Amino acid sequence: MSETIAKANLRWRVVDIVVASIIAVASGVIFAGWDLIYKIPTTALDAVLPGFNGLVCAFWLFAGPLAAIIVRKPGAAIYAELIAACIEYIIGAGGVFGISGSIIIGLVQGVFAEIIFIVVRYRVWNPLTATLSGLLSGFGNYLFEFSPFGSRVGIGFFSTYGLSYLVTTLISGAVIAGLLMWFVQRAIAATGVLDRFESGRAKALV
Amino acid sequence: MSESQAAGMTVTVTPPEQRHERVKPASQSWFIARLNPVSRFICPLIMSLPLFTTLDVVSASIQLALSVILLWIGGINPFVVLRRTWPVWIAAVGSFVTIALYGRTSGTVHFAWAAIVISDGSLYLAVATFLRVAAIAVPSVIFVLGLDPTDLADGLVQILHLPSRFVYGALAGIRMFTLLQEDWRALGLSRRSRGLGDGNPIRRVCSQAFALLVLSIRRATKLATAMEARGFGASDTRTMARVSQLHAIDWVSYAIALIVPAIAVGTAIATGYWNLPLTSN
Amino acid sequence: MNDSVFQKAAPVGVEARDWGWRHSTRKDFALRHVNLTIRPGERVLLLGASGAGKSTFMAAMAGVLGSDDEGVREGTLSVGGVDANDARGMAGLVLQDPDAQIILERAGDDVAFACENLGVPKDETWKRVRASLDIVGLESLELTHSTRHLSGGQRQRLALAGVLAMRPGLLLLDEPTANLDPPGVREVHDAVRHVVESTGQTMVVVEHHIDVWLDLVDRVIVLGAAGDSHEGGVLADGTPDEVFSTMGDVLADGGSWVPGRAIPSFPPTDDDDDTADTATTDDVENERIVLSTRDLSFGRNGVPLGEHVNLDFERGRIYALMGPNGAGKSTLALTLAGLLEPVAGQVLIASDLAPKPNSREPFHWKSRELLGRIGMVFQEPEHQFAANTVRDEVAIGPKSMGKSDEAYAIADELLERLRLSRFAAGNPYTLSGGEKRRLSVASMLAAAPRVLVMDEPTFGQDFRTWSHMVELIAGIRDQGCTVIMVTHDEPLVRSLDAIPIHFGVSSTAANEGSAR
Ligand SMILES: Nc1ncnc2c1ncn2[C@@H]1O[C@H](COP(=O)(O)OP(=O)(O)OP(=O)(O)O)[C@@H](O)[C@H]1O
Ligand SMILES: Nc1ncnc2c1ncn2[C@@H]1O[C@H](COP(=O)(O)OP(=O)(O)OP(=O)(O)O)[C@@H](O)[C@H]1O
Ligand SMILES: [Mg+2]
Ligand SMILES: [Mg+2]
Repeated sequence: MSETIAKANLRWRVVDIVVASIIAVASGVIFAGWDLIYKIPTTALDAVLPGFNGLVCAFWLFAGPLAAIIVRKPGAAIYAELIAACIEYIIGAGGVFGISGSIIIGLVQGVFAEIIFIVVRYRVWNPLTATLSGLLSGFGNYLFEFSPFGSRVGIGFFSTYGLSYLVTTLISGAVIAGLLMWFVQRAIAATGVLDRFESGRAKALV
Repeated sequence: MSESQAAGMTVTVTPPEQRHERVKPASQSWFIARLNPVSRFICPLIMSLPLFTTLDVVSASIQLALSVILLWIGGINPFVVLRRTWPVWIAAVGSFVTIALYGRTSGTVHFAWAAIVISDGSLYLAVATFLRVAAIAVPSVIFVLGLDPTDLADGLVQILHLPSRFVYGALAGIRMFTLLQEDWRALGLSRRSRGLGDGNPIRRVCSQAFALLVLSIRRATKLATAMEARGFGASDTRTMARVSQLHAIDWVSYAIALIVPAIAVGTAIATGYWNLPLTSN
Repeated sequence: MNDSVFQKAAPVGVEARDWGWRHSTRKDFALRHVNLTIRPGERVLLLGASGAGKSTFMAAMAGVLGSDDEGVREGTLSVGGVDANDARGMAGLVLQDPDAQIILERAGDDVAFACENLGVPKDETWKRVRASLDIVGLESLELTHSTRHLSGGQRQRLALAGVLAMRPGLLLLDEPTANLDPPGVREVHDAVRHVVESTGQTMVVVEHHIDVWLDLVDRVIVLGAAGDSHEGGVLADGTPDEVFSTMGDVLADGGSWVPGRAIPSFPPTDDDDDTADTATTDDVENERIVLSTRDLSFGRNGVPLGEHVNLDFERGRIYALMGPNGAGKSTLALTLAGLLEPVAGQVLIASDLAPKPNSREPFHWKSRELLGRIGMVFQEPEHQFAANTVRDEVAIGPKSMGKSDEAYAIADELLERLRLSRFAAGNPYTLSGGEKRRLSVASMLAAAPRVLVMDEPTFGQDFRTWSHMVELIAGIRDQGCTVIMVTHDEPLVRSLDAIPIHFGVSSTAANEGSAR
């Protein structure tokens, strides 16, 4: 399953931009829908298991890793996560968190999701890099949430709650936003719609 | 009215010219409606930044109150604001509960169980967080309601000088969102007619959502081709058919966006409530 | 600036030398050994069987086929003297799929998009936008009109306007009239004629129904499908008269529609042509009536498009819903197929076909109960695809009906008959326009429904695949199946002797101001 590409073509084509955008749009819609409903179950969860609502935060993290492993261009994770955040913000209900909680956090999450691909210089695309991307994105999410910009600033990075949130966010980011997205990408590739992308072409010819 | 006849039958329908769509206003507020879309992004951002330097009750409540009053002057009364921002209030209450249970402990402890410690300090922080979430999100939501993505894209390119390839690429993607709703419905119908519409609803929704994702990626690749066929991305000298400019009213809005948090945070400093959120650790 | 370059719209030529292209997921070349020269100002009709590679070649001339990692290129293709990939902007392409071509939300912006990309100054852009909309017959459309709910025909015209506004030296039209109603076809034709005659642009048009364009073109080029007996390339090239008189038979064998050739006819065999069948309309229990509507109002989102519709559909007959674009044909078709809820009134099926005696309204059935009883072929084939390979796609129906052993046998036979076997293991989405249509028809036929509703079943078909399709439809009719088609295809209606149901626009509603 591991794919290591010798020489990557790093220039964005129009199709890369549009496909990354549509992934972002679809994700942004999911973010916004999630915004509307998540608070009630997670607040309940918080009351029982401190910090465990980090487990669900991957629902705001997956756009970056997914777009990155599909279009495989520099900045794809940042771009997709940012656009998704803007969509979440624009379509109304998304403004739940205001411009900071929707858009700035999206930028942070995207930048963290991107790091691993910069490290491997956009050449290694496998379940491991995907997982790490989701994991780091979760880490970015943690940093933001407990910083002065986030809504959990009143708690503190290193409190029991904070550390437990850190662990659950990392797990959730790695598993849902990372590994699961790798399999989603494989499934999309199998339908043949990615035939203009390197990621969709590792198949027998027809 | 349609009787079958020997030569065939007829069905009578209303003429297409009579099927109208309602036009949505750019914003309910006369003030916001006249702003450049970029300002509708920048204003809430400027307004929110100073609040991040503190977590206290005074600055947040003053900012919230001023915003509501200004929006009222701008043409949206508080009840409408309240109705339009209901998800914000749910989120704010949720944050309140979390901080009340786990916020930094200080003063009298009212309740303690496992990691939960409800104290004067945590309750104070919870109230402050509640107000701050609302103070930041309420104007954001109202400013962005009814925003037209095309106008926003024009502004991003012409005023903020973001790269047009990416901005218009994203815009085209955003327009497809409207198609997604139609596609979702059509996919549901086609799956029903193919016998795939029964069974576990959760699995069905997941599989249909995946089908929608696939279909939209498919649409996106075709759209990219269509855009290229019209010369998109071919040359660097792109002209703009629509002009996006900042007017006096935009500068007024920026001034307001500076004054409001200045008053709010200034009062907090003057009354001694202002505190750097991380230093109290 | 460089504006003057575009304003003049100097016609450009095309030159292909041993050109070929293989899609990166295919082992066969879509096109190979293409040698042709199109001189500036020529008007060419490009023909070829479905899947011959016409759309691929058009995309190549427009420079949008993609870079070398999306396929394998052979030989050279130049437009206006430079490599086609570098000549983007010189050629304007109207794609085969009207749905995919609307880029922006407002009609005016959408048309202006190309001008902006080419660096046309603002004032000039809006002049061109207005002019282009006028030419294609959309003069009544406001520039701010939303592009969301345009009908198929309006979309097609808008796409054409967008390309015309580019003032391209080479105008490329890929099946520009598929899915249009006959007046729409004429209007698009007239619009194109107006443009090419006044600007002298080079034009290449792909169309299966060639009669439309014969008066406008001065050259016909026929592409052969690679992978058949021959290696592809150009089968015939010359003036229309030359090509059709000398090569008529070859072309017909190759699948082209040739003007004046007889169209196969499949009238109903059990010909009891009693024109007095109107006598029984009200009796639903009548043996022969399989589906009927009772005072039906159909529409979207609760807004009726047509009201008080009473129709009866008999066993073993073919009906054709015909009428202008946007009239509501697809909406009625979906309602008849039990997929859309009637706004008022009922759609009733014969009691012997109902899954339970008292459940005669298909809309209230379960999805499984529709299968094998009522089938629907959607206007947009891509909405229908649910499997990853062409073969699985066709087998879905039989499989969910519990016929898992025969499923693939049925699928293989249908694929063979519709000339899709070559792609059995391919992905539905990678097929050509006509191939997708055939696949969506095949997958519905596989479930062998008693009532089959088909939305534009024959669009994008060459003569050969069209004939196969007609034969198949006639075949299921002769087995007693009722077929309801939405179509603009007159030869299809004639060939099957289908009973037409015309959509007319009500005149009484015109003076009611209640719409706003
Ligand atoms: N993206 C793709 N990936 C793989 N194969 C493709 C792709 N697009 C087209 N093909 C194949 O290339 C061949 C030529 O397709 P093309 O769309 O050019 O045909 P066409 O002549 O336009 O047919 P039609 O008249 O049905 O539209 C077909 O066999 C098709 O299956
Ligand atoms: N999903 C939808 N939601 C709301 N309105 C729709 C939808 N689809 C179509 N319409 C509108 O319903 C009307 C009828 O559309 P319909 O698709 O039934 O027309 P049609 O007769 O099939 O046209 P065509 O020949 O162009 O396919 C049109 O005015 C169209 O704009
Ligand atoms: Mg084609
Ligand atoms: Mg239709």
